Amino acid sequence: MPSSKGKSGISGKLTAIAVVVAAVVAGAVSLFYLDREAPVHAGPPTVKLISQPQYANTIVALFGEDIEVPRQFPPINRTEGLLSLGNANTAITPVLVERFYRYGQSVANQVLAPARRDYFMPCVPADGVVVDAVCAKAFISSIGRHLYRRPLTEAEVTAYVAAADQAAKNLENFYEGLSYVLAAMLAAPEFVFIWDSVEADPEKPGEYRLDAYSKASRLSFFLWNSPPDELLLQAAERGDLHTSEGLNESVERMLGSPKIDLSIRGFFADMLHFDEFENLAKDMVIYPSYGPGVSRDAAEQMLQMITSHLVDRRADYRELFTTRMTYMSNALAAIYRIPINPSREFVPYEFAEDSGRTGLLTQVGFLSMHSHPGRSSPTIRGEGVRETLLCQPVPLPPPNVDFSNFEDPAGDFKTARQRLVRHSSDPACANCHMITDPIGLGLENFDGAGQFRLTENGAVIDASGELDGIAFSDPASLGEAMRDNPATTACLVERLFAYGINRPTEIEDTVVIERLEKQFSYAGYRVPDLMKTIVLDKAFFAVSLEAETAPDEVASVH
Amino acid sequence: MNTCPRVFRKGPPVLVLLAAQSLSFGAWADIAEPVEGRIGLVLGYLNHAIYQTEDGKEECPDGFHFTQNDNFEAQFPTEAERESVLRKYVYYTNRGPNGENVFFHPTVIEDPLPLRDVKGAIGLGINLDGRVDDNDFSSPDGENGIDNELYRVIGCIPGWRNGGTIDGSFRTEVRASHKMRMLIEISDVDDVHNDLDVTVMMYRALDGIEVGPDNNLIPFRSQRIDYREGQRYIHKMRGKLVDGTLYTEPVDITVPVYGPFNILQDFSMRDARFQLKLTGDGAEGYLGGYYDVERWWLNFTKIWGAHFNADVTGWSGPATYSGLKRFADEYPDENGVNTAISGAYRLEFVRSFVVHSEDESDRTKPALMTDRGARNAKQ
Repeated sequence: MPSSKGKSGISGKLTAIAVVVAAVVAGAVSLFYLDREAPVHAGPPTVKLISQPQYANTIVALFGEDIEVPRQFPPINRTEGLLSLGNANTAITPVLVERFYRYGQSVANQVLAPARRDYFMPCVPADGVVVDAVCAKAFISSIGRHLYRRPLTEAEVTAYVAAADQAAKNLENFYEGLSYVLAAMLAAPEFVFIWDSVEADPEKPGEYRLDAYSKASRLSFFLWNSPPDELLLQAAERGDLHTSEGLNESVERMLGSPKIDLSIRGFFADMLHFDEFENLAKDMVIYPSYGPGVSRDAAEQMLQMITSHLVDRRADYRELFTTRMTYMSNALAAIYRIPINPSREFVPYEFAEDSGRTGLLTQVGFLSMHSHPGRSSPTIRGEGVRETLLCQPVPLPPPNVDFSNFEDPAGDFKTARQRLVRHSSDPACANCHMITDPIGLGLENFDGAGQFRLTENGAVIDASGELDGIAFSDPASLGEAMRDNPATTACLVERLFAYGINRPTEIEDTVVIERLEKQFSYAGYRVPDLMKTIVLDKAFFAVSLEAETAPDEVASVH
Repeated sequence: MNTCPRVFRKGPPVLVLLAAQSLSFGAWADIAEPVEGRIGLVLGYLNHAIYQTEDGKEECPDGFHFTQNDNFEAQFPTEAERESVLRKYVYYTNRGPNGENVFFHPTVIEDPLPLRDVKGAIGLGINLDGRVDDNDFSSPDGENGIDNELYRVIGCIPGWRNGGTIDGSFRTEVRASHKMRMLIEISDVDDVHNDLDVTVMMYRALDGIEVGPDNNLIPFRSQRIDYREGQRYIHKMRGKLVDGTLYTEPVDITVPVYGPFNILQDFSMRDARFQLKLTGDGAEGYLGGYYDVERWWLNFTKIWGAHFNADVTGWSGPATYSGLKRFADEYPDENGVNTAISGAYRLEFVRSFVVHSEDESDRTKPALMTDRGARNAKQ
C-alpha cells in the first residue's frame, strides 16, 4: 500500500507543475494580449511597384497559367536587404512605362486571342466588328476590379469603354478594341503600383486608417504574393476587414490556401537575394558539372526546401539550418554527385548523415552564389550569412585594399584559410575579415560550385571556425550555431515585418518587433504562425499621415 | 564458335599492359572516386579509330582513295558512254554489266581505280590478338601490335576520316538522341587505379544529355537504362583496372550505332573489348574487336544507301569491298579465308550515374529526349 507521504509527494509535484504551467500560460497570454495594446509606430501610406512574381501571379490568377508573362523586370535597388522595399521606393521612368505597356499588350493579345477569348468574356458581343458598349463595359468592369484590386469608378469605366469603342471603330474589330484597353489597364498606375488609400478612422476621430481594399491588397500580397481573390474583395466590400472577427476569418482562410507557398517563395527569394542567380556563372573548365540550368535549379531547390520545411511540415525555422531534407533535380545531382532518376523533377531527397550536407548553408544555391566564378570565398560566404540571414551589414572594403599578399602566385598557400591568414595580417583588413571569414571558413568543405571536398590543393581542409562566440568544427556544427544564434530568428522577424508593411523598420518599431519575436518563439518558430501574428498585429495596417499631407489628397485616389 | 576465351588468353600479360599504359597515358589524373564501388560512363563521342595527319601524306602517300565518280569516269571515259549508261540505268552507281548497283553488288565489276589503302605504320586501336604481326600498326605512343585492318581499308577515304561525313554523322547522332547513347557501368571497384576484378556492364541509356557552352557533355548526370528497346545492347564483361585504365575481357556484342536520319545500323562486333583510360570526370579510349565483313558491308551500303555513300561520303563500292576481303584478318571459313576484319571505335565518355530503376514504369516509358520539364509542380 502506498504511503500517504508518497501520495502527497506526487500530489505536491503535480501541483507544482500545474502552477508552473499556469504561470507560463498566463505569462504567454498576458504577453500576447497586453503587448498588443502597446502603441505602435505607423508609417505613411505606401506606393509600391508591382514585382515580377506579383505581376505573374496576378495574370495566372486572372487568366490562367498558359498566358506567357515577362520573366524579368528591370532591376530594382535593394533597400534594407529587400527588393520589395526597393519597389516601394522607386521612380517610374518613361522607359518603364513603355515596357509595362508592351507587357500589357502581350498579355492582352493572348487573353483576347480567338482561341481563348470566349473563356474570359462575360458576354458575347452583338457582332465581332461592330462596337458593343454593353459587352465591353461588362468585361472592363469585371477584369478591372481584379486588376485594380478595387471596383472601378463610374468615371473609369466610362473612359475605358469609350476608348474601347474608339479603338474598335479604328481597328474595325471589337476584340482588338478591347485588347487595346486591356493593355492600357495593365500599364495603368492603378495596376502597376500597389498603393495605399486611407480614410478617416471612424473609431478614432482625427486619425486615419487604410481603406478596406488597401487592407485586402496588403494582406493578399503578404500572405499570397498575389492580388486579392474574389472572396477577399467581397470581404473588403462588406467592411469585414475592419473588424477583428472578419479579419480573422479572412486570414484563417488565406493561411489555409496553397497560395501561402507563393508568399514564402516570394519572401525568401527576396531575402536570400535570388535575383543574383540571374547573373551567376561558373567557369566550366573548373566546374564542368555546373552546366546551364544549375543556377535555376539551385534556386528552385532552396525554395522547395524552404517551402516544404516551413509550410508543409510546419517545422521550426531554426531547423532550416540543420535539416538534411531537400529536393533534388538531375542537374543538381551532378553537383552533389548523387544518382537520381532523371525522369522526375525535384524529388524529395534526404542527404546521408556522412554527406556533410545539413541545412540551408550547404545547399548548392547558397554556396555557389556566395563564391567566385572559379573558387570558393570564405569572405563572401561569411558576408552572405551576416547580411542576408543575420541582418548584420558588413562594411565595404577600403578602396585601397592591397590584395598582393592574397593573390601572390609565389605564395605557398594551398588552402583558403592559409591565404586569408596572410591577408588578415594587414590590420586594415583584419577588422572586417574577422566578421566574415570565421563563418565562411566553416563552409570550405564546398568548392566554388558547392561540390563537397575534403582537401584543397592536396591539403586537408580545416573547416572549423566560430560564429558570435560559438565555436564549430565543420559545416554541420556551423548549421547548429546558426540555429542557436538569436540573431537568426530576430533577422527573419524584422525582414518579414518590413516586407509586410512595405517600408524599412525604424527605431520606433522596436516594441512591435520585440513583441513579434516573443510570439515567434512562443509559437515554436513556425513561420506561418509568425505571418499570422504579423497580419493580426495592429501595426500591420497602421498608417499615419505627415502633417503636410492633405488627407483628401491621399484619399482622392478613389 | 566461342572464341572469347581464346582471344583473351592470347592477350598480353598484365605486366606488359602496365608498362605500355604507363607509357601511353602518363601520370594518373585525379580520377573521381567511385560511388558505392560504381563508376558510370555515358558516351559523348564515337568514331572509327582513324589515325590521320593534317595533309594525309604520312598514312596515304599515294593520295586519298578514288571516289565513285572517279571510277565511273574511269569506267566510262567518254561523255557519250556515261550519258548512255545514265540513260539506260538512271544513276551512276548502277554501273554493273547489267546495270547493277555496285554498292549492293560490289563483285560484279572491279573498279578501274584500285583502293588506296593506308600505308602508314601508325594506327589507333587495341592489340586484339596479343601478337605483333607484320600487318599490325604501332600506336602514336609506341605500343606495337595494334590490330585495325579496317583502318587500313577506310583510312584514306576522306568521308571516313575524322571531320568527314561519317564522323559528322556520328557526332550528331550521339548527341541528338539516346539511340547511340552507350552507357557503361564499372562495378565492384575497390581501387579506381588498380583493381584486377571488376564487373563491366554495357547498356544503352534512356535519358537526355546536357551540353555545356564549351560544347562538352556535363559530367555526373544520371541516366536510366533503356530496358525497353535496348535489351540487345546489354552485355556483361569481366574487367580489370590497371593504372587507371579499364581492360575488359572479349565478348561478342552489339554496338548501338545509328546512321544519318536516325537509321538503325547496329554493328555486331566479335571479341569486343574496351580499353578506356579513366580521366578526371570521364574516360577515353577504344572499343576494339572484329567485324564480320559481310555484315559490315551491309550496314554501310544497304542501310545508308547508294546515294549517301556515293555522293555524300564519296567512296567507291567495289574497290572498298575488295579491300575488306583482302585485309580481313580473323575468323577463317572452311576454306581458310578470313571472314572478319579487325577494327576499333575511338570513344569518349563523361562520368554518369547509372540509375537501376526498380520502377516498372521506367522500364516501359518512352525515352526522354531532353532534360527540360516542369520545374515546379506546385505552381
